[in-house]
Amino acid sequence: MSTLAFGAFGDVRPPNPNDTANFPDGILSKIFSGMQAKGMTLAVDAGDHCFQSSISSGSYCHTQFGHFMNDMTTNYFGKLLPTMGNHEGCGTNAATTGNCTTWTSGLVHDYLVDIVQPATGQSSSPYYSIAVYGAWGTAKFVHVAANAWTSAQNTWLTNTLNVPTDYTFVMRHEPSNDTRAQGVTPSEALYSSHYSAGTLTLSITGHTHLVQLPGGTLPYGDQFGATQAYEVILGNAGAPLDAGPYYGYATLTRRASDGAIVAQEYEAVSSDGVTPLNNVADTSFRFAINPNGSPNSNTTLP
Amino acid sequence: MSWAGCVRAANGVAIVLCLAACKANSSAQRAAPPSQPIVSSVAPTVLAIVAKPAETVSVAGREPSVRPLLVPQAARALTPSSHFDINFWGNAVNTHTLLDAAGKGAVPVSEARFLWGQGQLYVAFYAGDLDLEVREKSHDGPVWKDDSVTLSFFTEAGKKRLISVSPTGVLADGTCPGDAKNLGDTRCDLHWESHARVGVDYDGTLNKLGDFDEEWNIQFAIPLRALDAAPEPGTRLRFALDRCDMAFDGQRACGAWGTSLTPAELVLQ
Repeated sequence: MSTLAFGAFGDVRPPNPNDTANFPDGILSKIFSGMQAKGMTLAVDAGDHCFQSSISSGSYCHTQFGHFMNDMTTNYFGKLLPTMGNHEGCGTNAATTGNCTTWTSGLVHDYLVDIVQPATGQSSSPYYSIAVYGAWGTAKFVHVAANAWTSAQNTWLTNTLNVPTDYTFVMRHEPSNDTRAQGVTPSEALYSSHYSAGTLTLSITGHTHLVQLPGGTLPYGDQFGATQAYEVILGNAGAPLDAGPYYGYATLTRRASDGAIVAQEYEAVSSDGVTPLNNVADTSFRFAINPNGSPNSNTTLP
Repeated sequence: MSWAGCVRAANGVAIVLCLAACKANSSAQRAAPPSQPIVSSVAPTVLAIVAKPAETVSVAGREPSVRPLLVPQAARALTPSSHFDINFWGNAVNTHTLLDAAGKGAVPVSEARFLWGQGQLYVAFYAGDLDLEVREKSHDGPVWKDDSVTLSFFTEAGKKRLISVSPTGVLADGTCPGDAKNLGDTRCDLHWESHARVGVDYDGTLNKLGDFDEEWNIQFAIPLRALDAAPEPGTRLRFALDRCDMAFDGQRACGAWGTSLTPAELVLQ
């Protein structure tokens, strides 16, 4: 990549299970076209791509995954790195406590085949990582599957995070303080350790249908979850909003002058779910971080 | 795995998906020694990135909230439950996101669907909610002080019949003047009974902050005769629905479909 820049969003599903007719195609299309217009050639998502009541394969989520991919390929021509959410997992009615220990069948397998395979070229595992590089340095994107937590994933994550790169972005569906998913607590322990060592840049999460800045309770307050200093919540991409006036996405771009990553949230569709907002920047949701995860007070966009 | 597992995109865009840790080919990179663990279990794949202009996707605008909702007939009878059956509700007319006083989508998001049949008006209500606050347990108690939804049916005599239900299924109903805010208005008569049956489901923990509640659903079966409405095609009901989200520190946001001043309308098909 000539420049380290990527889009990020999370949580795309209808309100009710099995309701493919109300999959948020309009919102998702605007998000993908917005990222395209912003020149993002790489994007990550924070999980939840569908809603079905069972964990069967070939069911409603299979169809909704088709909607997701069609919305993407119609409006966005970069690459997507998806993250497994509880709605792709092994809990009835998408229970956050659900945990898959195998993924060769059922809903989680559909997710791997329908979304992960065409997006990344592999369908062997719901957790994976990639590395990107350019004249600016190296970065790794580490996609944790907290709803498919196994000792093997723990070992993989430990080893992967130990690989030195200039930037490390970790993606996981559930935020740090929703510990119902089995992988949250153990992966968070690793994140925290690496953040303390200066080897973690940012944790990108979703699950709650809003955005929340790193290091506190802004902009929507403590009742919506306090974030770690190195954690952002980006969960407003089409699932019914819990807070905030719009559905949208963020861009995260490296600033050449000092290597900081500047994140900016954009408004794609109004909270009514239909009125376009033409990618207006949310001036209350911008932050900058250094490669080691520490805050950077200069939030000037590159 | 060896460094040779890394593949550079053929079009020159330096993005790689690696089986093993990718070797830095930039002076700015920090190279990992070969003994480092693998970065990924992903098979080498070239990620070709081609820049193309964005396409415009049109999104249909929302009609005014007072538009009539044409309510289809249900294919069969429904016993309200916690289970959302898409085979039943798939054909229902949908308000989509309720609107706030400014006409914007009310957040947290709520929506309602309607069907009718077997002498019943069927309603499925959805509410996103990160903080479920429900304390009332008595029929005709102050349900409206909790997280709840209220259905209002307007009569010719300038009154309205209100049915308020909380996520735990506690129901209050009564007849009020048309300008009453809720069933707590002292002018309301709580002797009227709707005989509505409800089924409820909620995802979360009541009255506990910060534990990631998610949403709640209520299904209604309301006898049309109780609303003085003929259970036949063509029947029109002047109607409003509102939901105010209750947070631990009080009311947060309200959404509605129709109001006392400008009721919405349900038209049985």
